[in-house]
Amino acid sequence: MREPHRPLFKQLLRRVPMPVLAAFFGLLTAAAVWIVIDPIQTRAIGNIFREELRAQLETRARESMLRFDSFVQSYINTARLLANHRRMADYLEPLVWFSADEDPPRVYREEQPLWLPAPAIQGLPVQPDYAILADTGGKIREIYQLARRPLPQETEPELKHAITNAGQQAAYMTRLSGSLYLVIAERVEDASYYHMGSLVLLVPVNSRFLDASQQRAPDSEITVALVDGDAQVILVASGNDPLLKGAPMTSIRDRYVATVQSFFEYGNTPLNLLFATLIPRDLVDATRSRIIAVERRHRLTGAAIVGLIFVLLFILVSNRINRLLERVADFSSRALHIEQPAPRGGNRLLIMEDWIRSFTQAVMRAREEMREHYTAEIEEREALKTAVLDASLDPIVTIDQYGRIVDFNPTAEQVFGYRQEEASGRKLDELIFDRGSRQAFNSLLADSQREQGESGQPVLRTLTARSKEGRILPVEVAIKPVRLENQLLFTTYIRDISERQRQAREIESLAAFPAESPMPVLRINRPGVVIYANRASDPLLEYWGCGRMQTVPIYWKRVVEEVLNGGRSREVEVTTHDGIYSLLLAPVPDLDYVNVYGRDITAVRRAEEEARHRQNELIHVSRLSTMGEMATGIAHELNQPLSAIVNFANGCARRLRLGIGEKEELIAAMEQIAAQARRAGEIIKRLRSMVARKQPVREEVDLNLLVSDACALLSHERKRLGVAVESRLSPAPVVARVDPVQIEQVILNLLRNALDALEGREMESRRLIVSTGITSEGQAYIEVQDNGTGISPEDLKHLFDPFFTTKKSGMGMGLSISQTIVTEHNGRISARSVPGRGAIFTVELPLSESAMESRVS
Amino acid sequence: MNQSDSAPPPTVFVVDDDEAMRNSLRWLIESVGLPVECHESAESFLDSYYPGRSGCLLLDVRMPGMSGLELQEYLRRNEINIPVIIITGHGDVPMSVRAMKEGAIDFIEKPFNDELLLDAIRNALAVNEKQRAKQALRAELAARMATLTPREHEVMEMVTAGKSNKEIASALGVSAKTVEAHRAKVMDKMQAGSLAELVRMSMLVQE
Repeated sequence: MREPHRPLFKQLLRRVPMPVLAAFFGLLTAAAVWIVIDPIQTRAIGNIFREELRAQLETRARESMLRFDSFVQSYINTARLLANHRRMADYLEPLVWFSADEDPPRVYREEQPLWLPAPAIQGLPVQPDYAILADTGGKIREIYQLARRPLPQETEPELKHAITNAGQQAAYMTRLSGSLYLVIAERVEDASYYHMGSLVLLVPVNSRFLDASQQRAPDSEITVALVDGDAQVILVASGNDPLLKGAPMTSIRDRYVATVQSFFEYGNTPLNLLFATLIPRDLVDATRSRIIAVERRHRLTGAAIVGLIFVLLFILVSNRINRLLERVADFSSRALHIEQPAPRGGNRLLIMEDWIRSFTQAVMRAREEMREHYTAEIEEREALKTAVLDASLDPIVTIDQYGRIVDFNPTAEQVFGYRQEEASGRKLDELIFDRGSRQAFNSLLADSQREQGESGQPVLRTLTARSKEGRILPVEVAIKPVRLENQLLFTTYIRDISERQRQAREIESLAAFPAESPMPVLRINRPGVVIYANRASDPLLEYWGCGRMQTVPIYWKRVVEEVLNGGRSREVEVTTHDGIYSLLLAPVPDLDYVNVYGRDITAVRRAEEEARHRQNELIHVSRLSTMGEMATGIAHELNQPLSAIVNFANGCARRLRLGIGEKEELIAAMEQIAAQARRAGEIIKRLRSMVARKQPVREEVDLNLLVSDACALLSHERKRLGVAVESRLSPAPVVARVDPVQIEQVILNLLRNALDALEGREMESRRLIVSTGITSEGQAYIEVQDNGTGISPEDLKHLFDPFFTTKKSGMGMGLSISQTIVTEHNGRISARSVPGRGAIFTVELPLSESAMESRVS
Repeated sequence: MNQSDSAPPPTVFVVDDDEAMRNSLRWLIESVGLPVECHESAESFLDSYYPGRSGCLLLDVRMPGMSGLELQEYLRRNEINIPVIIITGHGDVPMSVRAMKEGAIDFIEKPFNDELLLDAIRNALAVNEKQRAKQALRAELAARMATLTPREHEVMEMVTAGKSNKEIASALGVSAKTVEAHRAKVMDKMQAGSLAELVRMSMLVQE
């Protein structure tokens, strides 16, 4: 149903020029905008207007009331001015009123009273009806009557009340004989504030008054009115609407919009007066419809602008597209000689679309023509290529996609012994490759077929070929596919590499030297890349985490660089997971690489480690044995605090049982127990540290402390021999980096030897001196001096030999082990002696670095 | 004889170089109400001790300076009779034996059983008391003997040697009657009730 419609519609579209179409769409858009927005906006504006109106009305009402207030205030001010006027004072000063006087008040009509300056009254917008002078008691004495009517009767009591109640002044509105008056009472005083009487102004509050208060023409649109709050009736209104006066508020609601406010001023007004601001309803409605009309006009304009912009945009875009298409058409007509369409009138966009379709077809045709043209050219070039092939030094064979020989160049004839005529048409793989290489060649062929076009580089493969005579030749084969128009050919380059292979084998066998080496041999270049590494280097490479042709870790890269820069060999040790290697790095500066010769020294290091371990073991055993020998003494030493504890505890128990003993002394005894237990603990701790099997450590220790500890361990022995150790320790700490337990062991050995030597002497003359300090060479030293039996020169030579002893008991290991320990610490131990007079043993140890530094500074 | 009234109470003298040991012994011994005097060395003890002070001595064998054994020897040489209890560490038995041979009345091994120690002290104090009583008696007898004339002295020696009046008479070239008179005088002066008592007295004095 739609099919026949469509071309018709399209035909129609083709006829319509673009701008018309654009205008049509623009109109449509504008109309849509208008239809959608108008009702919404109108409603919104109505709402806004109502809100605005209410606010406006309130403002207006407030303003008109303010105006009214200030207007009234101006009357009050005038009254004050008159009351304090010089004339008033002059007039009243000599006058005397008697309260008993029953005379009627004096009335002025035509003439001006003396106490009132005429211009003051005449200048007012609404003149007061009456100006009254009352005495101090509120009795009316003189009346200046400006109105036609005489003063209403009820004025007198009203005034009396106002004057007496208000004191200084009073202003309020009241109703007198049906009319509304503003009553202003003002006290008249002389210079010494003596109360002489009161001036009262009665101002009629009528429509004129209200008009004047609003300072506007009587025909203004806003009307103000005073309303009786109880009766809701308008008492007086401005303007000249006669219907308003006396009308109830409810009856005017349909004609006016009213805002009613109450007075705060004129507080003692006897009436409940309200102030109303009235605006005619017609006026409000007219304003509302005017605003809505204006708004509607604006919207209409807005919609029109949107439509216009849409049209402009539409035209602009279509123009752009048009121009683009024209340019394409122009180009095609010039480059491809395709006739340019002549879009005169009608919808150019659609016309262009049709044209582009025909243009594409034309281009396709042109391409086909071009291809034919180039195929011919390629064939020409092929002929040229053949000539080149013939002249090549390497055999070049062209085969078709089935592997049959198409072309066999003269070199190929020479190398393989087949003539071109024999070869062509035969399969190349069967003709010159032996069985083993045939498959490799075919896969190479397949590869090259697959990869054709991907990269220009032909694939190289080493194969074995056989000549007609049966000679086996190693060859390198590269296949380059050549795609001709109707067939796929392959140019096969075959190179006889038998000579080259022989040379390579020679070099290879040379290279096998390091390869066969059981020791790691590597070559690393300056950037740290492992160029060569034999099989034995695998553990090393694994440790470095790099393979062959990869970069060694940064540290080793730096070492290689240093060796290259230094130009001298260097030996480095490296501990891998599998073992320890000593690496000799020999630079080859010309080639900028380093040859690395490795040596597995794991076994050597293990042996050293083992020896060190055994030595430590020996040191420990020796220490144990020393401790064993000292056990009795230490047991005694331990017995002291334990006995003291037992005594203290028993003493406490007895006292507590008997109920004697002061609390303080019992506590003191308990504390003694604790102190002695600590003493015992100290001894045990010292003992344990000497007996414990520990890995050798190095820490900064004050040698003085070690000497004190050793002396403490020996206290029992010393007591047994009756020897007091003379300590000449350096007052400053002598800090060395040592294994504290081992050095204490040395000190202990020396002290025990000295004690043993002293046994041969009289108890009284036994002397043992221990001193510490720093030598002039900056070495820490410990010296143990005794005046015992001494050592003979012969014994002095063997003193530090293992198993050398002059004692009945003991293994003779003490000094030997002491020497081992001191040597391990990079120190020195020595002995001097004068036989019969005693011996001196000296241990020297390097000071710790920090101690050295502080010594230097 | 009236010395015991005004004399200081028997004191336990402690000589030990270890302060904790001294303090703990003082604490223990004072718990039974005995006065204790501590000295850190034998020399210090000798400086403050005067013969005749009653008490006993608790002595550590091992000390720097004068050792316990040396002090014991000094006391013996100077005839200072004060009972000595040796304090010894574990394993010092040979030395303790030597001390016992030197006249110590007891030895106590550290750490102490408080009952044993206090018993030993009480025992030593009792011994000391007894010794002092004996010494007082001997002094009294010597004083009585001093009142004898030389002739009476001779008679007393002979009587206590078991000689009869006749033998004494012939030995002294006096009559038996005279010997009889001397003998009565001696018995009277020595306040001996019987010959047996006189013999005991003479033995005590000669000890």
